[in-house]
Amino acid sequence: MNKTRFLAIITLTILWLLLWADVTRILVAGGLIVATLIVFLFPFPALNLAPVVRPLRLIALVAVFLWDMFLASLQVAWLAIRPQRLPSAALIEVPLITGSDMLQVLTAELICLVPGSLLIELDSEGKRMWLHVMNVSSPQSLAEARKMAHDQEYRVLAALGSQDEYDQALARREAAQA
Amino acid sequence: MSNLTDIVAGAFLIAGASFALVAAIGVARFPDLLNRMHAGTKPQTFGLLLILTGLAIRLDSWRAGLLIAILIVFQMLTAPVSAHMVGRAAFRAGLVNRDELYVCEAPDEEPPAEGHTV
Amino acid sequence: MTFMSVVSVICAVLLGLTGLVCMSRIVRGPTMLDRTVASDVFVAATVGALAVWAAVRKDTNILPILVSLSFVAFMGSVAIARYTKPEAPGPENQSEVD
Repeated sequence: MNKTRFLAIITLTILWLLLWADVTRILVAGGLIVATLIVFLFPFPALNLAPVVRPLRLIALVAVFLWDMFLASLQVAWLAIRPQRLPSAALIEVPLITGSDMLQVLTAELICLVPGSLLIELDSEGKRMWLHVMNVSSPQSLAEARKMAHDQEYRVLAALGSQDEYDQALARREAAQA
Repeated sequence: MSNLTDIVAGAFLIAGASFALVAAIGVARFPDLLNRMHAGTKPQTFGLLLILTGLAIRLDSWRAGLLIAILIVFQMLTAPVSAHMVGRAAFRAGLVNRDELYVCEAPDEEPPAEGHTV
Repeated sequence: MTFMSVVSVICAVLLGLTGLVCMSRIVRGPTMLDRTVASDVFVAATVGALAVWAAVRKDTNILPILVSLSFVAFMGSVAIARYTKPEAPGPENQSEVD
């Protein structure tokens, strides 16, 4: 049994106990049995968990994300209730730095909940993703959309990426600012 | 009468319900599927997050709080996944009108099978 | 009226309207996926309404229902998206009302 499976069993057992909202010997045993069955009956491809965790960056990631989600909700809310017609949207291709499935998924998930963008396709091997972005009708807003996606990946890599990926993201960010 | 926690919880509940309504208005008003999905993802998730936070404040018990935390995390994990699934299905089914897009950098017609499993 | 009952009435009106507006999109379609998105928001409104109910009555027994309901909603939309045929939009492209 490898480390990832062991972690999965522990996490599932904790989830099980939380769902029952109680801790007894029977529940712990039941949870362990169910979790083990799930992990071995439905094996997932090996997942590389985050090699590094930078706690401060992780907090920053979560904080910025929650704020972005609030802004995104307000933006969509405003577009929904104002009388004018909805401005045009765009479908853009965004290159990714990370090749890790886990970090790609995390980046994509977060991008879906921040202002204006929605994931359409993700090419894991080619490190590219395609986003549908709302409210894009000028080259400037297009550039902003790309910057938003890059910034999101930067924050994810700053929190959980390997040093190499973090450096690349940092370099891209500095190049964009220059 | 009511105390401070009830007022805070009530404010969260009402704000969350308003976001849910706005999400529905967006879904009903926006002209095409992908724009509707924006409305169905962000304000909806955020509204539910607010309502559940209000519920947690009002219930004021750590067990309920933990369960609500799981629910919130689960919502934030699943909403983008289902939105992505629907968006991808829409795109592949050709339901996206490319002429209406400001810029369209479409992915290849036949995307590689790898990395595209469910 | 207590404060919480005022809150519950306001939330009931807002979430009830949410349900109605979602219904209009579910009826109008025009594609299955539009209906999926609308029903997703509809279920979210239901979860929200149950949560408000739980908050007003301080009832923790509703929480497992909330968990299972959001699971079901997720599985539902993923399943529909998964089995939408890539080739043709299908007959559901015409908006039909029974």
